Amino acid sequence: MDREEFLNAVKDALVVGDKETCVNLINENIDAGIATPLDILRLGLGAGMTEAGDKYESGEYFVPEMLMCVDVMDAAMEIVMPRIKEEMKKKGTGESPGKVVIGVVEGDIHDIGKTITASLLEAAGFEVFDLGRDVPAEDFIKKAKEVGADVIAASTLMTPTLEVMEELHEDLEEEGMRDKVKTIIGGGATSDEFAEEIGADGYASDAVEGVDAIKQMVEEIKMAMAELEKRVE
Amino acid sequence: MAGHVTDYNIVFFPSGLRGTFDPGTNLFEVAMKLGVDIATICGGQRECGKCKVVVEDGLELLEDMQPSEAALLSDDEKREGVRLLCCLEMPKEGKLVLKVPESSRLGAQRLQTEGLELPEDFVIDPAIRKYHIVLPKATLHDDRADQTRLLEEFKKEYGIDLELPYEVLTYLPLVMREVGGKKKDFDITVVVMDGNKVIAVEPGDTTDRCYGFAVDVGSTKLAGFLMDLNTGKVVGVSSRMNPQIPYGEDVLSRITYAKKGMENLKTVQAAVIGGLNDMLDEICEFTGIKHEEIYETVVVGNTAMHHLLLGVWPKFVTFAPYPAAVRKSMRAPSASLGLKMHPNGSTYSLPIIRGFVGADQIAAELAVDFFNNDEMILELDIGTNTEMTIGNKDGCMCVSCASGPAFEGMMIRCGMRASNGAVEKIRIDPETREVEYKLIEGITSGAIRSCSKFRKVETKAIGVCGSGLCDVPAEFLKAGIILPSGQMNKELLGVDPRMREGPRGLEYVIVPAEETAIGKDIVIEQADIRELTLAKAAMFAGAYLLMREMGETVETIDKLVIAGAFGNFIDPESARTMGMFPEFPLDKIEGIGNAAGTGVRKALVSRAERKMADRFSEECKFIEAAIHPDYMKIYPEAMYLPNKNLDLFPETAEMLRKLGRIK
Repeated sequence: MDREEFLNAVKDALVVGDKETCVNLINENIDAGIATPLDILRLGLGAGMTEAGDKYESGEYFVPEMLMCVDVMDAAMEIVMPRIKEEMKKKGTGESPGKVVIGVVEGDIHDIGKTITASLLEAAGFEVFDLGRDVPAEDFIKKAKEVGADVIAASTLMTPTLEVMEELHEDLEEEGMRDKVKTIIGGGATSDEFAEEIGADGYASDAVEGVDAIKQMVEEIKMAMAELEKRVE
Repeated sequence: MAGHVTDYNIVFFPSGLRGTFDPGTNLFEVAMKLGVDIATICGGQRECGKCKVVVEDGLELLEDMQPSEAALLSDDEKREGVRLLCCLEMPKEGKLVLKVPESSRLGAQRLQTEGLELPEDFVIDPAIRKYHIVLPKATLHDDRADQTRLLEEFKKEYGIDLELPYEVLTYLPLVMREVGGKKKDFDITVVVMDGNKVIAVEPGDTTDRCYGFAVDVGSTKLAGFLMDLNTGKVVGVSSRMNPQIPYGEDVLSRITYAKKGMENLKTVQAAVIGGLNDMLDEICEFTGIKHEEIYETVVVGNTAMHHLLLGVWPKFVTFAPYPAAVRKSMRAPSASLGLKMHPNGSTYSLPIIRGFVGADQIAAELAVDFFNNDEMILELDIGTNTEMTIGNKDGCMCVSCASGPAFEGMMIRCGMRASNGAVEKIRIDPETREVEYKLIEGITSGAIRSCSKFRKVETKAIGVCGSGLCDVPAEFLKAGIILPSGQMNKELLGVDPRMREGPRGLEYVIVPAEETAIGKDIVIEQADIRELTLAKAAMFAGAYLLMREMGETVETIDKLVIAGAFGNFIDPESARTMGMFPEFPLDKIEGIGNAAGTGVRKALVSRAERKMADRFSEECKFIEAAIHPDYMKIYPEAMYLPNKNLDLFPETAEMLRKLGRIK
């Protein structure tokens, strides 16, 4: 099996949600050096999640199919991630597109959408810090500070917990963090207008949209940084 | 679960129904399309003058009144801003706020009114009892105080030590002497609550006039039953939309409004109390019973409705872990709630179980009578939040699942409430895909108001209601219109003209425009199927987990009963085929209609039932489906039709195999 065949097979196994095949493929080939762990992440798993996301957008896939892909992704990442970290250590710095702190806000326990988003982000190469569900605003901020996050992504399905998102933004302001990190909100109860109302940087109606929006945010951050550097020079 | 209400340019109160329509659209059609409860005889032909509305906002946007409209309105009405819907069109811009006065409403939503009698062997033991007593008149030889006289004579006659409160003592002397006096013995009736507490004394013998009000406060609909406390018979029924709807379509957004401050909470509370008072007025007018003859009200509702009705601070119920503020049964003076009944009467609320399992579920448990049953029963109450209880006399367990409002017609493009013009049944030939449907027609609030004066208007389809929507996934699946994954079958594109590319993906026409009252095809689109499968998957996961935690299976459970507004109307086979619950044999499935209504009526006339309710609240175990460790496996699998795990659905799988829908 050559590199391309292998990466395609990984991708296809993920898209159809075949965990066993995907994991076996990676286990059998990762040490042979057919492809680097980073390639497996980007061109195998990442490409697979992108394809699944496309299928979701076109209506072919729905929540259960996405969750199956997430399940495969999680299992594959357990093998791939430690090696990527090792590789990064050797090389010095790794180039991740960005760091995202993600969670379902305090008072809400519905986390399927958040879980899919986190997995898609991982597949896109982001460093993801998933805080789970029922996460107080202060925990988002603490984690974002600790890891130097580029983006905070907060989700809620229920209307009453919308106010926690508002709190999150107020607290960020108070902590003097608001211009250091971008925010995006999503989940059943949220909307474009609400994002604007509380001053979030972005809103996404589903996981796929969320990842696209976050990619763009990070892109903007990078451009702004580059701009800044230029000026300093 | 609804979040922000999307934009709209017309809203009808008190229903809160709203939508966006093009300029020039006739407002009567708009009302029909939205399912607004509005009276008509002529069907929008500008003849009967029944479809009166008050324009609360946007009067200046409307065209001036034409003679044909003016002829149908009185001068008073014109001054008050009353207009006729059928004579108006959507303005070019701006927002209309219209109020449909009670007189223009039919109250025409389908309310389950039959089968209101209690079982024959039911023991009537209400909290309120009237005792007639004749007290010897006061003389020089018997100069006991009025208070002493009543207490002593009552004890002699009935063996009860009365508690006579201050409020009654103040006017006792007058009542005692109203019938009787210097020459005649004192003839009075004592109204006693909970065995010995006097709440009123009345002159003469009024024992045959003793009434109570049982109310099911739904987030969408209020249902009230006036009962004769001597006989346990229902003497009057009334129902209407919950007037809280303008403050939020679902319970969560309603609490979001209320929690902004005490003022808001009071507003929301006053809205529902106002609705109950309107119902009392209606029933009293119809039956000739006076408000003062109603001594007790018993209410049930989900936890949010319960808190909002009683004015209990509701905020924290909506935050995980969703703690209720009040759990136990309680009594509030009706005067402080503002209910129009006897001034010293009171309102008793049944207990609740958890934040998302309220007194309405307790009432449903009373209706099913779990604790007196040898049979193992699984009860489902389908709604925006679906609650289920499983159990028998040895104990029970309940679960709540956030199923969403899809089966109530919300979030569904052509969904509507169960009123005239709603498609309530759908059959599709699995081979030819020929669609047959049945409409709800001719519903009136027949329980107490005769609508025979209305000429029958030919009903045409407007949308699809819950029971119709319940047929959709099953019939679509059998006919191959959708695949077991819930995806629209794109292979039918170009083969079946009813399958087409719509604005939001594939859609399938179930009623062509020419057969509708709205002049547009009634369709089911991909997103609708997704909403329905999400809802049914949540219900399945709840039922499955509940059965497993209780150690029961479809074989060991004797009966599956489906309650809720359309419990009696959904087709159990359709529900089973789509996999709304594990695959029970059809003869074990039974619809029981408004179980909360049945339960609250039982509680009104029986103290034993209230004790039972307290026991349910104490003993019924509770599981939260969404955080169960297996939920993330069971829920997604249940999004397939009937389920990803076909081993759970052997009969349905066999049927689908024969039709060639699965391998």
